Amino acid sequence: MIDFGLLASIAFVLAIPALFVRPFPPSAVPHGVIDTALGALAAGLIVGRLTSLALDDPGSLTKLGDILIIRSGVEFWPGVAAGLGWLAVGARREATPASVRIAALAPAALVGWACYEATCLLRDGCPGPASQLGAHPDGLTTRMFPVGLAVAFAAMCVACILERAHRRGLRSTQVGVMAVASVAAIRSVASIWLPHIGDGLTRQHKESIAVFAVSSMAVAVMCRHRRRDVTQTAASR
Amino acid sequence: MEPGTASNAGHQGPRTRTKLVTLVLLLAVAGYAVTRPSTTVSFEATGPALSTPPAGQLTALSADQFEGVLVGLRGKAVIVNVWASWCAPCRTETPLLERAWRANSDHMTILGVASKDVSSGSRAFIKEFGVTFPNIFDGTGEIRSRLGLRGFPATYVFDINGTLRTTIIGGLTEQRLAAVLNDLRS
Repeated sequence: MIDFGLLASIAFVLAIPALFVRPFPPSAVPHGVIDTALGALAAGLIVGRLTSLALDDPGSLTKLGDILIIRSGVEFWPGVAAGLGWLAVGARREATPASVRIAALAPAALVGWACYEATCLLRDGCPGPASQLGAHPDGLTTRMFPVGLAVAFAAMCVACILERAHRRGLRSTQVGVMAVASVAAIRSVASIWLPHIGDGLTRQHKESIAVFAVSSMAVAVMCRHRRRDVTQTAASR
Repeated sequence: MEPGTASNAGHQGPRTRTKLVTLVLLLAVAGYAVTRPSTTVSFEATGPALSTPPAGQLTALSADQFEGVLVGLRGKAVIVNVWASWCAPCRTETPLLERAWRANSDHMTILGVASKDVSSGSRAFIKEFGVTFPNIFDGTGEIRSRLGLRGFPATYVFDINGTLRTTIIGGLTEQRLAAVLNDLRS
């Protein structure tokens, strides 16, 4: 059975960034956002799906039909890692620094993710915690706060901030790591409100917290190095 | 080559691509809107009340007996999940349903309905996932026909009055199932 909600979501994920986000610098993405991002998206979906099956249902790893049903679950962070890996390999082949290409595409990727979250309206009605500030997800009588829309808004804001900061001179490596840290932070916070079964944190929530811890440490180290560089340059003058 | 030809050609590509992408987007959205199945299914269980089949087992029942079980369960919310051992999304959602059952069995019931399947396959599936909620075997396909099943898996949520509140066609996500459970609790 074709999931038209998911299909429409993927169409938005690809089309909106391609139409409205300009990579910076444009020379880092010579083939355009769509051509460059499609491979990364496919790599992310395949690796994310295989990881999900390996963790939850290893018996299905030998069945192609089961692997192809991405609606049944794609592990987010392994998928992101695979997508980044794909971009890095592609950039190296074209003699472009991987960090430059990843930073150039980071705002587009964030906008794409925001589109995916916002189109939860087409998939499952964006359930969240019970709240007067919200809507009735399909078939439910409780009014729920649409966490997906809040996540989409946050991701859009981060995309705008990072894009501006990059144009104003933030280094490519910092843009890439900050994008990852921001996504991890948004997911970590959003997971608190997402309905889940039983007590304790979900696996996705734990993964996001771990990625946030590692990436925010990396951001802190990079900022410290940069500050030291600036101080040393000033002292040598 | 005329001066400017290369730059014109350079603009043509992205423009055409933009149009194509927009067209694909519109077609996808329109396709979705046109073909999206309505989730409202009209079904109300009737007949004499019957007891719930034993938990963790697969019991073959007719459609009338299935309706009797639902009548007997009035007073408790019931989630009916129609599955088959060959269905990939069913493999993903069964552990979720099992967790939901273990966490909420005091105020709701999950009733699995194995349909369009062979009983040995269904039994192996139950064993593989360690399912402890009751399961019914729909050998004739009558139950899925009465429920107006359009695809596997399908989940039907009944409130404590036996009214069908919502139908979810396709695999359940943890978020969606948890939202349904919260809704039933409220």
